[in-house]
Amino acid sequence: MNAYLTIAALVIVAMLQSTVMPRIMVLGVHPDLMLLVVTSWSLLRGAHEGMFWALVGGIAVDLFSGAPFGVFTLSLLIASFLSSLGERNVFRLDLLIPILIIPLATLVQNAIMLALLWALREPANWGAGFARVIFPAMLVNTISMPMVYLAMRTLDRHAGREVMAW
Amino acid sequence: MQGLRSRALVLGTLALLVVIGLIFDELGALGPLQGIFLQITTPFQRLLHGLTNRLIDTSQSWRDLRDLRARNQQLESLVDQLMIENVRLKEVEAQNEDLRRKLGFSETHPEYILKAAEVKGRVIGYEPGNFMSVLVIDVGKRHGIRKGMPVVSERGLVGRIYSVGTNWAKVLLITDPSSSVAALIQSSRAPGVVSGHLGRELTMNYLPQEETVNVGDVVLTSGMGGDHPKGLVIGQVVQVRRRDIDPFQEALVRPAVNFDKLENVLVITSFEPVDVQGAIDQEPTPAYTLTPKSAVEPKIQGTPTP
Repeated sequence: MNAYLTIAALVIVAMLQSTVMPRIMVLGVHPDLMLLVVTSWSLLRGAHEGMFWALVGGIAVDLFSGAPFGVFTLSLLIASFLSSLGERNVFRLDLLIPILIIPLATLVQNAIMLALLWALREPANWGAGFARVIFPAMLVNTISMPMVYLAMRTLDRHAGREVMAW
Repeated sequence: MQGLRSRALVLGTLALLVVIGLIFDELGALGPLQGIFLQITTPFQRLLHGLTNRLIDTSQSWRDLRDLRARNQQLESLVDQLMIENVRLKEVEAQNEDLRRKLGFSETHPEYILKAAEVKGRVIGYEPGNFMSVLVIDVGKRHGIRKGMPVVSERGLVGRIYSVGTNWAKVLLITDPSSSVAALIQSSRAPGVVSGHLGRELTMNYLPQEETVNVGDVVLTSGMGGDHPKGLVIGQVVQVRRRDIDPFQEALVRPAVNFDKLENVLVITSFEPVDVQGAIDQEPTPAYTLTPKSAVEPKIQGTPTP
């Protein structure tokens, strides 16, 4: 997939996350579309492409967010790295792996975000953070994952591999 | 193993870059970049938000229709009650105006200023994450918006301007965990501080134990601290938590504003937030000092400045 096209697509995903997603509130939280997309891509394409998506997508979300710049990027990068460890060709058609990975990715991403906000902004209420945000978000993202993963798998089949050199 | 090491190296490098970006952001150097990005994306975001609104409105129409008949009946009876109350309030208003004139009372009440200087902003985006409560509106520096300005809707206080660009501004909602507003209970005038929490919960803390706080009491801004104008509606008390062992009581407040359905907000441009901390920092050394308690008799050296 063309890198410029990827950047444009991820900016659109970030825009959807800041306009459409907050209107879909379930259990007091909304699905994290960027995390779902990046995790799916990391599982389908591995760490290098996954982390590129995490970097671009994270920066785009950070620019829309009121949180200190980098909070989303850093947490998405780590979540993508961990997700990519589950990348195996044999599992590509299996929906179970993404469903098992996404709650962990959500937990990791949100815990990192909470820690960063605690360090940079204000003392975090960890109990409330887990009870009101992280656990509901794990559930909501897990429910949303099959739909996003199937869409990303279709894209994976039609899009060529990105040639990247680090 | 080699692959894992290579991935970890990539992750480490990228993470380092992000941390550098974070430091730049803390120093305020990323403002222009964010400004350019949001300036480009604001029209698209506005369009997307409009489409989402239309879609949500359509899907909700049929649900609303179902409730309309029952609500119509309720509202008709409410209109009757309100008409009677309106007449009574007009009487009170007239009496109030008369008394003010008689007393030569020329206090500049914030509501009057608010009517004269407000900027209407359309909500075009929300906080992408779940930990913060932030709105993005389509007015910015070009429209006279500055950081710290209070933001209201027709129902009450929304928040204050958190960061601002040429044609956009981010509003920190009162439900954000880092938000706190000096407030008072309308009926008893009991002072307190309304703070936001995760999950969009709003509580009023530091309410003196001896004050009476009831469910249904209206919470207003007190104007203390200089962050917000006085008298703006924040919400209504829905639960009071009072324990004899605590120094203060706490009240759970339901915000007057429905943040999920906010479409337009008003920015009060005529209100200048007072930098209390700055004023404290700039305050000259007091002209008097008290001797320590251990001294036989405290002495006052010099005279306090007026």
